[in-house]
Amino acid sequence: MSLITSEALILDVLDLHDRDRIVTFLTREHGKKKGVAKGARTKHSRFAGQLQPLAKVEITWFEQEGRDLGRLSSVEMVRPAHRLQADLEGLLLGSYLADHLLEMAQDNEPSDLFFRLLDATLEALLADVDRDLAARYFEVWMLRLAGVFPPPHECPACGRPLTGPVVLPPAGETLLCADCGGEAPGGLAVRPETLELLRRIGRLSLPKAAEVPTAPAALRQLEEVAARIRRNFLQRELRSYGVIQATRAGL
Amino acid sequence: MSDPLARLIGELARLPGIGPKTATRLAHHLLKVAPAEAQALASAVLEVKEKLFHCSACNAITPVDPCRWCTDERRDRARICVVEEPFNIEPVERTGEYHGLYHVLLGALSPHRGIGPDRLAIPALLERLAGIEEVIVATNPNVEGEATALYLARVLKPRGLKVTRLAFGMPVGGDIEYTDEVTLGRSLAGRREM
Repeated sequence: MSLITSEALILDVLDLHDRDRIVTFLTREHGKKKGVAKGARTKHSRFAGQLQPLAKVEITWFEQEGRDLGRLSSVEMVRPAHRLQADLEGLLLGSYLADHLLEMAQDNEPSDLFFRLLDATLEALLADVDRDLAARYFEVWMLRLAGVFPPPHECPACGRPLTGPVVLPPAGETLLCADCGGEAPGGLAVRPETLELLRRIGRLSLPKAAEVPTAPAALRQLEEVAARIRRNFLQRELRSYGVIQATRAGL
Repeated sequence: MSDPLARLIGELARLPGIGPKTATRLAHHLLKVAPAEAQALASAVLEVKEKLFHCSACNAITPVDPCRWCTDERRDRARICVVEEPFNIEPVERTGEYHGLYHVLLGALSPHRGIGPDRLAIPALLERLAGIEEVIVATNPNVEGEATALYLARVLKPRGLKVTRLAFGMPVGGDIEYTDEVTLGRSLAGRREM
């Protein structure tokens, strides 16, 4: 049995039995981990308010070889996320960000880039960066880090630079120039401002990318582009995506 | 492993919070107990399913429909307390501070678990609002409960209702020194004039 301490971002907290909780968290060195917080549901638990989804914490846990679940020993708050979770839109966005990592981060494998992406996105959101842009930035970078977001620079079919109109084929696996992808039925014609936003996201940090005003139409189309690529990669949609759309529609 | 034992383990493992190891342990315990004890358990499970159901108005667990809270004329019918699960009603009742109606949502909003408003008993709540002045949202103080409360506030406030939320803060008998910053922060945000 080993005792490990690491900085972590909490992704999910689930009740277990009458007294305990299962905590899913992301670390740089150990990837996605799960641990039981004994007594976390009780009134005077030492974990109390520390186990908040998306909080950045310093976490110590016991790990036994061959066991999926560790046992949390202590959790110290580094950066709470409750400012983001003070309104419904913030809560929905937080759940959406966490869902990406719950689905795409690997258990027990170093996840420094995923950790840095979520950490930087949360940091920017807590500093009141535009939430819509933050969501698009996060989606695109998650897919890039997973190795599935096509580079927006040259057509993979003909090798020419993507300077003119660009097409995302229906299956959403790559970005093609209009000559190579123009005939694909159901393809998405990606507008120049969307492509420009995509390149800006690839080049700049989120706070820097937010310094330039972004057209809502470009944000909406980039959301669609990312959703198609993600569905192609996962072969289904994230559960949170549909729920968030339905929740907004009901208001 | 014999089939009846495997079946029992499989059925037990489907219960919330019971993994395969616990299910195996429980099944082997049931193998050891006297037949009458196992029979008592089996008949208790069946009896619950036969004699208890959700109230057609508020979703509380009840042997009669409508439930005792919905039919009690002495209760304050201008207030309705919204909880996530039927077992959340008893703790509110035990306070002795609340004498209004209840409504059980049968869950809480949780996007990454695929639970949206359409999976909650919100339409039934909206149908019960005639004569209601205040909706007290008593969902759990976690992100799912908070999301549900905020969603309900967005849906209910335009209808001219007073929507209130249970206060967050330090437990009675607690100690500031040992209170975590999130709870203390919430306590400060929700402070009241004396």
